[in-house]
Amino acid sequence: MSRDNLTTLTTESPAVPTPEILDKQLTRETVAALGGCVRCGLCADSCHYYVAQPQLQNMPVYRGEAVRKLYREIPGRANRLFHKPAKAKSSEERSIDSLTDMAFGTCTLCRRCTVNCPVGVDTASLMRTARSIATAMGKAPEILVQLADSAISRGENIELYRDLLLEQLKDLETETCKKINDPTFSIPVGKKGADMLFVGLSGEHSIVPPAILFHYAKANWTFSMFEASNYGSFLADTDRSKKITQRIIDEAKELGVKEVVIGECGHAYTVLRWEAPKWFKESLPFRVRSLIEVLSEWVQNGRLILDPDANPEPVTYHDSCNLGRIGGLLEEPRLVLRAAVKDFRELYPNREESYCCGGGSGMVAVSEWEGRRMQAGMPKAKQIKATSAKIVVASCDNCRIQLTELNERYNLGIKVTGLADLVVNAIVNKR
Amino acid sequence: MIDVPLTILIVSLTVALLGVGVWIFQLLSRNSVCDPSPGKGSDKLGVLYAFTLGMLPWKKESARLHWLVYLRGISFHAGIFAGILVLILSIFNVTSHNVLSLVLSVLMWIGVISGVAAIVSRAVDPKLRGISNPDDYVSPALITLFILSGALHVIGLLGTVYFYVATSVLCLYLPWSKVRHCVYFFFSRGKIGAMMGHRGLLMTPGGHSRKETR
Repeated sequence: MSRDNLTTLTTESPAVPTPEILDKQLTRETVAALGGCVRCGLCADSCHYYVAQPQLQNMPVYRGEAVRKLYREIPGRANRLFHKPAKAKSSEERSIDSLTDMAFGTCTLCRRCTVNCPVGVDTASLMRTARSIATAMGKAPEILVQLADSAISRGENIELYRDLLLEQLKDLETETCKKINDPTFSIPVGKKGADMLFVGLSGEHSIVPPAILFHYAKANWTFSMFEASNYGSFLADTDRSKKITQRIIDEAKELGVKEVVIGECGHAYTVLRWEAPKWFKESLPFRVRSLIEVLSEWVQNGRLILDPDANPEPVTYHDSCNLGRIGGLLEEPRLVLRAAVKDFRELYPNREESYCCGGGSGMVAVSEWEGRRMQAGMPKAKQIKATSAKIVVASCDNCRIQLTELNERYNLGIKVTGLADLVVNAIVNKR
Repeated sequence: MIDVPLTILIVSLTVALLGVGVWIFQLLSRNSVCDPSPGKGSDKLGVLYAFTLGMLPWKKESARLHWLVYLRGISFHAGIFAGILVLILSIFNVTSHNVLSLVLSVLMWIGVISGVAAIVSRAVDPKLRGISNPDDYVSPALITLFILSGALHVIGLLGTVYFYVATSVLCLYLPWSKVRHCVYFFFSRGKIGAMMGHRGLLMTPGGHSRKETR
């Protein structure tokens, strides 16, 4: 991101969103989140930003109040009588720029505060509302907008990318054939009648290990032309999100697959599994699963036989917020890991109480926020250090990037890897 | 002959109920997000969980870390409900049994102590002070006053008129106060419970953070 773009995020402006923009964002859920908070402050310790830096500004309730102030300022609303406008304490609090910075740069929408709120106030939904307002006003971080738009453009002009992708996959296929010493290995693309459409991420690491596992499990699968990432979701921009999702839906429909399997990516899973049906107001015409769920099933039914001795080093698992607390995949990765590694150690707290690593919801994409990202990752770094694990498994690409950087920053002495990598390493029933 | 304190109380209660009606209207006038995704668990069990087991202090890190605040909140609300019961008995001129009066009295006195403690801790804690607005002091103060008047009334140290006046003041302020959380609580918590139940988060055998190494 250029220096100019950084300036747009930090320069104060008196802009206040128009009532129409604000009004469009309000659902019953957000109104409840706006009105339900009693400012007890119990949410503070649930936020990794606050744990790392116990300041007023890092309390979820403080962030929520920023959106409440905007809500109270909607002119002409009948409810003004009952939501008396509060005088903003400073121009900073009034500014949409500071709200943008708060929503994108100091909250990863991890929902840890939501599950810890006695009332059930969903501050993450308020931050999503703030992101949505910022995006509608053209204030969102430019890099996120560019990434979302580039994904949409790819969907609209797939013919331009097809040959390049096929060529890259061919190279990967050749390399992997040699690596696993199996000339029958292949990465099928556009295979009609396949049972599953696998949607990975960009990069060999998210394509090859799952492809090897599909090969060994003798799955009838095909590889997607598109990436699973949905930056429209980070922008809280439903229109962009829908367009990005629609590409995968169309491809799945065209190929007639029974299910779409999302690679190891937190937000991509949540988007397609849980959010997309809400946007399209109907359930998708195929099953959606994470690769983790598929591996869990295959390990349980013996389709994949694993030898834990192949991974003797102590391993811990980082619950990605989107996969765990938000997505509901808490036990599946553990089931796979217990079969694939010899020494599995839990982080504490874990599962739905797991701390966010600090890299989610687009944070890793905005280089200017690296400092605060590293700071916010401190609780996770401490958790990891306490386990003395040598390998940290993260089934989310953003988490992997963040954990890799935390490893360097906090000298954790760990290797960060995906679940599929360890499973490939432990597989016994090779062809 | 018109019973003036009772009339004032009824008018005030009507204002308070109208306020509650406005809160409900504000909520229902917005569209709710429907979730057509095939569930991994049960929405209904999630809602049930949210209002039962999910309320237990050991189920939430925030309550485990701040158990005193949690207990304070519980006892404050118990005092409120006891006060409401005393008010209802008083309006309908029902003489309560001595044991019930004693129980209500104890609950209300604990509620008063909790209310005062909440106000004081908000005033002295810089962070809580930083997130507070005037209503965060006025609301608990008026509620504490209501509970206190009820506690004194039930043991015969305060006349009905004063109890009704304290209640009326609270009722007239209520529509503008954060007491609106009593409406939004049910929706928010129910919705979060339904969402988590739907996604199979609450009923899984290992669905809670455990200190384990293997």
